[in-house]
Amino acid sequence: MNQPYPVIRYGILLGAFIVLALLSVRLFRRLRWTGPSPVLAFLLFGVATFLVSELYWGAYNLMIRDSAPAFAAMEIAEAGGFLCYASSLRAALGYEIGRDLRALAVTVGFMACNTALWIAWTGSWVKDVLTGAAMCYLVYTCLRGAIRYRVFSRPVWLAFLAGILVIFVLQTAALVIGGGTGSLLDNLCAPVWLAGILYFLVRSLRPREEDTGRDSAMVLSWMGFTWCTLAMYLSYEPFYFLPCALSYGMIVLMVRSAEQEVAVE
Amino acid sequence: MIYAENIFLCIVVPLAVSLLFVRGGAKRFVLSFLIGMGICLVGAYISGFLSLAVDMTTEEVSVFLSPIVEEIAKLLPLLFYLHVFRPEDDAVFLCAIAIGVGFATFENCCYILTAGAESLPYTLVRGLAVGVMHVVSMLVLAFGLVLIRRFRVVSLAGIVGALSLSMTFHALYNLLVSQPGLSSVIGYVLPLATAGVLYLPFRRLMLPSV
Repeated sequence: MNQPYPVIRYGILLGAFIVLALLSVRLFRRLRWTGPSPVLAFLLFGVATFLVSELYWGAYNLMIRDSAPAFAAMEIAEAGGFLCYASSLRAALGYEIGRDLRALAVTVGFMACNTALWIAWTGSWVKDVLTGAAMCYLVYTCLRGAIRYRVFSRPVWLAFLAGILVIFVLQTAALVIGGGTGSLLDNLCAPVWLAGILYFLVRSLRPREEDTGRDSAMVLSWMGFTWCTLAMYLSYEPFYFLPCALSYGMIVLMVRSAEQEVAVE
Repeated sequence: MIYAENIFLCIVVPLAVSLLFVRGGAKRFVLSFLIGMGICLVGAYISGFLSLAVDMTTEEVSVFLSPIVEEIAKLLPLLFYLHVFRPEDDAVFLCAIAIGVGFATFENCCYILTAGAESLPYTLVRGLAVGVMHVVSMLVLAFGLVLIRRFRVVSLAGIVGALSLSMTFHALYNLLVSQPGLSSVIGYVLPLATAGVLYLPFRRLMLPSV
């Protein structure tokens, strides 16, 4: 089966491989093997896991590619990577912060809706539930961080809430209606998630004075990565490629903010 | 058709007897080696069952499911050892490597009995590629567990992270060697190259405790 957009597909794959390999080497060189903070250690695990996962995915595409892969180690690698990223941010936030049941309830509801839509699209129960559970921890940790450091103002929270609701409504409608109209509704989500990505990119690249070198910079880049990943999962090609490529850019920003955080420590 | 259980018993008995007469690190190594062999046998049962249950071919099982089953099976005794006995880092690496070597040895024995040992290149490839691959995947696992223990944050996320790394490495190897040609050559070189790359962090990690 010929895959469409081969240049973009393999270009992103190659770029991701180079970025992740360089980041792995960089993190390894900066890692302190003992100490109070496992921020970089967990981040290194996450990046290395994504690197091996990319290699597997690339090899699979080049060698087999005639069918979608069955449930494979790659799915576990991806889920493991999310858990490592979440653990890295959790370590930066500090283990003394307790649970926030309201944030937990919001996260579980949000991820349950996402997972239900993934299952409805793909039919892969095991794969989607596993990814959803791992992402749940990542989203919850990001949310805790965002609440703790007051990363967003009230209007921004409301804008995000509205955006998420619009995406859920459009996606569900696209799924129910199907056909050309469904495809149109699906594509209408793109501006919404793109606006979110741009917001995170701008805030991460041009941090406010109070964000620099602090945990809030980490929270922003982590949230940006999570947003890109969720946008990637709800998009079809060719829209899929944009959040996919930007998620690797976000990993670079994650590493940068984590290094600043460790330097401050 | 080979009788894997009989081969297993044949190799295990002298090693089990030797446990009565060795001590310390040697005893740990032999015991972990035996556990690795046992895991290989159990892993083959589980993979065989799964191939029937999910209606996959042997090749599909080896690419998709075996790495998951085998790496989880290899992790469990190491996790038990780590949590119950709280060993030093050196001992964790020793056990991890021995489990990997035991697993690889038994797997190679069964393959060579099935395919024959007439071809020297084939046997060398089996030893240098598959054998080293199991050692490397266990090394990665041990690295992860030792590292998260050093930071005193032994969490599910850390364990899954280490496990997923070793699992995907194993799956990548199986995928690459599943087809002849350039991909299988890369696959055969991959474990040795990774072992070379891992040597540096291994030294760096172990030096402070020496």
